Amino acid sequence: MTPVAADIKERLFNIRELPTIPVLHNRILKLMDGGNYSLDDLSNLIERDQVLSGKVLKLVNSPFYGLYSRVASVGKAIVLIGSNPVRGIILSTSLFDIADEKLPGLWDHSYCCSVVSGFLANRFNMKDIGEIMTAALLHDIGKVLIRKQLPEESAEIDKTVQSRGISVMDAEKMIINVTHDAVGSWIAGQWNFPPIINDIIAYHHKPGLCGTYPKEAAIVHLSDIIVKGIGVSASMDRAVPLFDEQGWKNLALPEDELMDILSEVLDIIEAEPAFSQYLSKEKR
Amino acid sequence: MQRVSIDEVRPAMVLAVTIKDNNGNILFLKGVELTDRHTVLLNNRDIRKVVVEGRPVKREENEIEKLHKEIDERFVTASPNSIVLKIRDIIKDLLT
Repeated sequence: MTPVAADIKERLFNIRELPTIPVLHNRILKLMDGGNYSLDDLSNLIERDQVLSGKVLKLVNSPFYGLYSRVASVGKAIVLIGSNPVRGIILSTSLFDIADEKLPGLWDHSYCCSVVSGFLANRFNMKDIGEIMTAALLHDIGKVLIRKQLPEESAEIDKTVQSRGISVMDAEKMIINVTHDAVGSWIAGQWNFPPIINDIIAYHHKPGLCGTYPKEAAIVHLSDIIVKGIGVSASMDRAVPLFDEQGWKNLALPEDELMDILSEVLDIIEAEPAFSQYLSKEKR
Repeated sequence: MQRVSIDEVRPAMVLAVTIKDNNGNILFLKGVELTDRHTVLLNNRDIRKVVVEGRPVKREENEIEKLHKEIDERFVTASPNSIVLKIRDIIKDLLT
């Protein structure tokens, strides 16, 4: 593989132009980093931001948590989902605001992957379910950065995906010679994400190569394939990613359980109104 | 197999996938022959769809064909590995 051209690298990783985390979000993250905070302090800060509060409440009321009554208080939501998913929502919000314009549907795809990864992580009795869900929410963050920093090349990537019927990942390789998993891992490093989240982002297309968190990365890889297969994906990014055989082997999932799992996943996806547009006949 | 809504369930349809409630407790095992009583219980539990053996509910052929084609196209880039093909075919069955 030829090296990434110097000007692409410079523009992509130009730290001065990186999306910044809003002041309020930074305050919330700092409060959480300190570890010594009250639930009231945290929920009061989150409630000041309507978008953030909305996303926290949407997640807690998602079918994954299977709650019988609707949660309307941010404080109660934090108790139920834990602080790590809240952190993921904060970190993704500033970048995904850009993504919604440039890659419509990417937030829905990421949110759907997060919910499905949570279900699978539960199925595999994983201990870091919150972290896996957060990483799934952020797995395509590199695509957002590429679109923000390299608008002309991104247009070229979209054109190539359309005309050649290839995946975004292959088009990225052709046009800019760097792919969104590597770019995502780089920004995760810049923003000091915990290693588990960084590794899942870096290896979500090749979980079999992940040394420390192979099963966690394979869960997000499988979710990505299932969610795209069902059709919850960004409009310019419909292709199901290349399947990683080693990652699948690491999951040690009996093949005859796929039917039950996919059926449950579809129940979960259909119960979330945000995803109905991807499943409705009109959209198809 | 076919995924059908509770309204479409008729006696003698056979469950192809075990039904669980929101907490993961098993309600009915796969292989069970459904009766009107099952339908009432499923409605009470707010379960909207179940997967049954065969394809007992008739659907619009054109719609099925169109959707299958779309799903095939999405999977072209995913490699012809047997697991991927299985995932693709299950999704086709479940969505139609």
